[in-house]
Amino acid sequence: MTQPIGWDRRRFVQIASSTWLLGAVGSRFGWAASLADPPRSARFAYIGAEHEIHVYSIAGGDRFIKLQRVDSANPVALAIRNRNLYVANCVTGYGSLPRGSVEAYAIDSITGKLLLTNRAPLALSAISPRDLAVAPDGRCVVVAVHGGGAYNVLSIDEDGRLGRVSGILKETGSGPHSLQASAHPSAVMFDRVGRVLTADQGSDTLSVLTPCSGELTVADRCAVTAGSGPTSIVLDADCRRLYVAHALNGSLSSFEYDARIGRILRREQTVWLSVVGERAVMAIHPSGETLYSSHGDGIRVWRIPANGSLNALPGVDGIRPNTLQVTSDGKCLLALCSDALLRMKINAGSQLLAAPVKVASLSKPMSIAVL
Amino acid sequence: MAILVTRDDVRFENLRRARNGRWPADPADGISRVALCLSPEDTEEALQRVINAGQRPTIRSGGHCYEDFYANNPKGTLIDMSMMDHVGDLPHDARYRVSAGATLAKAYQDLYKLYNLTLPGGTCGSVGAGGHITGGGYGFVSRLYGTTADWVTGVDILTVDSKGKVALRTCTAKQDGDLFRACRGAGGGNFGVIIDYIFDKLPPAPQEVMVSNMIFPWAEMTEEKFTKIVDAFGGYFAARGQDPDTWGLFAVIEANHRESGFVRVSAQFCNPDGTCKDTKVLDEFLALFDACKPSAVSPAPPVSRPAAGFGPHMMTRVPWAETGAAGGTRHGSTRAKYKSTCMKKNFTAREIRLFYKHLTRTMPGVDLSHTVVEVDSYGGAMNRKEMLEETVAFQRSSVMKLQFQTYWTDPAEDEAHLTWIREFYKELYSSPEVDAAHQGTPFPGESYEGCYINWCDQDMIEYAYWPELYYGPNYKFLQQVKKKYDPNNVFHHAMSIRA
Repeated sequence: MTQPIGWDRRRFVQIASSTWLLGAVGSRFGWAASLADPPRSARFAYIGAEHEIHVYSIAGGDRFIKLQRVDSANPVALAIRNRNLYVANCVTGYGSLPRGSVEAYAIDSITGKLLLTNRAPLALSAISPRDLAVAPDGRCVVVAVHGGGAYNVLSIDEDGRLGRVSGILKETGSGPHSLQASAHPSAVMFDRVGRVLTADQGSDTLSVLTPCSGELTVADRCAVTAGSGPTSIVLDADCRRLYVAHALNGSLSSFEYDARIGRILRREQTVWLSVVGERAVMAIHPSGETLYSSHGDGIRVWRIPANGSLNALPGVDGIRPNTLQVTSDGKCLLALCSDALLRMKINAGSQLLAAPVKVASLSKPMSIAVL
Repeated sequence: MAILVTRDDVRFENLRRARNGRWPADPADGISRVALCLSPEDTEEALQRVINAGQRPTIRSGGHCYEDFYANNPKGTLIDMSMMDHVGDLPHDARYRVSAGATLAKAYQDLYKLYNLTLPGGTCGSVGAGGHITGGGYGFVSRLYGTTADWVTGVDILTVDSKGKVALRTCTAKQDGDLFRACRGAGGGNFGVIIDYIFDKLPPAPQEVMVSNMIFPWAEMTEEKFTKIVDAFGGYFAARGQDPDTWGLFAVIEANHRESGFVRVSAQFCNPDGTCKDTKVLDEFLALFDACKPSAVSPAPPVSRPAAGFGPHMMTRVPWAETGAAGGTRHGSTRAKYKSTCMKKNFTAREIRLFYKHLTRTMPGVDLSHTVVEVDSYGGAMNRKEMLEETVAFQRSSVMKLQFQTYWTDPAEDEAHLTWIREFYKELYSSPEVDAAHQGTPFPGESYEGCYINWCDQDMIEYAYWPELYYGPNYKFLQQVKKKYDPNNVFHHAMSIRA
């Protein structure tokens, strides 16, 4: 059971307005002013919105300064590797064919700005990709194709350029929910040894896939509760526990995972929430001690003791994030809502969240990556 | 169990190739294995293995697909149906069956020899029944009897359910009637693997047909003469050719490019009773071209027994069993591009002028001698409006069907040939006959009735409304069928139904 922290709508609006005013002052002085090169110590945030990617420098850890905007078609998922940004374009057609696409951008090591390297098509029928992950060695990207019911593998060249689709794993499956008429791969991530973990919202399946010679083979399958719709996944810091957010039945579950053999061993815990929908998101603190989740009804905070169980702590109500991201220093949780990027400071000791602050105003943001 | 031919098999290189040498466009797009199926059980088992392995199946019957629908399947499996070529009834079932792998030549021969029956179409003997019939299927006696799809009363088809389980269905008007209707006109590779077409009855094979060929050399051609030939042909089929007594006449203008040397008008005819006792209709048709003075007349090969009964026009008597078998190499190195149009009216003067312009256009260094627009007669029994509800072939008001074709062998000529055909087509349909929103295409309207899915043309998917060109008002219905019977979109290609 979560409790709202000391924050209310009025306070949120006040904070948001003042922060937005700062941003507005910057923008009134023109694009050039906001495009000033940031100091070398700056970190960068990349936010995918409906038709574009916004680049921000994060000054002093909490001030977001807009650096750049580049066109991009529905950049639904972002991943950074080796100073390259990879983007899954959630589109139903590319080059007149029914397929999505993936983009690669080079990240300027000083300015943080993006330069498009190339855009590569996914396989035929691989429409509406939902997630992507880059291999630990940076040599390939795996894409979860929600609409097309498949996983695609694309090679990555030395210079970060995307190659063609080298592997396709076509999925079948369905579930009892009305949104589960077919397979809908919705999440993909690599474990520390390079295996691929996936969640299929349409077939209620978790999978462990082994990339080999540019193709994917199934190492393990794990059926989850029928109709639950596993939507997003995270691994703890030790790769021993897999947390799964189920959008369709409003639950979170944890599974014991053996990265050595690539098997999901058993379900350990399921916690039920009161909200169901199509989206459920999570982010885990770098310490592995706290999980943040949202099923669209505020943010829940879960303490993870040594046994891996999820223990509810006070969260944040009143916001409906569609994406969560903990900064790599573990000091902030970033949340994308329908029209804003919110920042919540994380208490160093308790890892509880401070009140959200609106740090950027955006139209339909959907993905974020922080460098 | 199906015979699995993988990359390390010496047969693979031959079996993987598509008939159209352009496909796959990139070797990396090609298949990794071919499953040669010998029975429905083989096919079911092979398909299930493909699904379980997370691969994509594509399907080949005769291999005539103009685009890359079966050839473009990176690391996937090609389900080859060519050895499942049964034609005839079964011990426990007196209905006629034509298996997906049967070529039209075999179907014509076997149905004739077994039952003195025929399929209404098509015109190329090496085409496989699997894709041909589900796309409609018309040919030499379709004006007399309708399309082959019109006669289908059942389809045995393997579908894949939402869980990935393969199952054999027999769909009929009463069982899975929506899928049955969709299989009659949607084209191949959409819903599953078709095993057999079932016919409660089939039309009788004509006893004989009259065949006539008129040659008009380009050396003697003028634009005025060309206009007369094309206008005479189109005018006939837009008017007189729709009278029932003419439905036994099937005719083609082979409007070859000037570099080929000639334009040909061919006709095959029998009366509705399947005889050629009275050739009045054919005479009437051939007389239209008298003024154009065909300078040479030759019978169409193969002809074994030219008949003596010539009337005022040259024609040749050919036994039914000797028609329809074109043969041809299966995996040719010939490269090709095609387009199609269904026409509801005779040609306009502008259209004929553009035909002449592009058929006489030269492109330096490019051989256009194997470039042609075939204008096929249409209509007759194919335009029976009651079939609109029974099939998804919506083109039931057309009088001619055009097939634009260009062939070459050197990949270096790809761009030139594609340019020729695309520019011709686009200019032809950028006209007052097409409304502003659909310029460049024969969008269904007063003059045109879209395109024919069996003569698929991937260029058309650049137009967001391409499904209307091929399926008219039936696309939403087809999307519903797709969702229901192939919810995971296991069967797909560039122009498959997109649910």
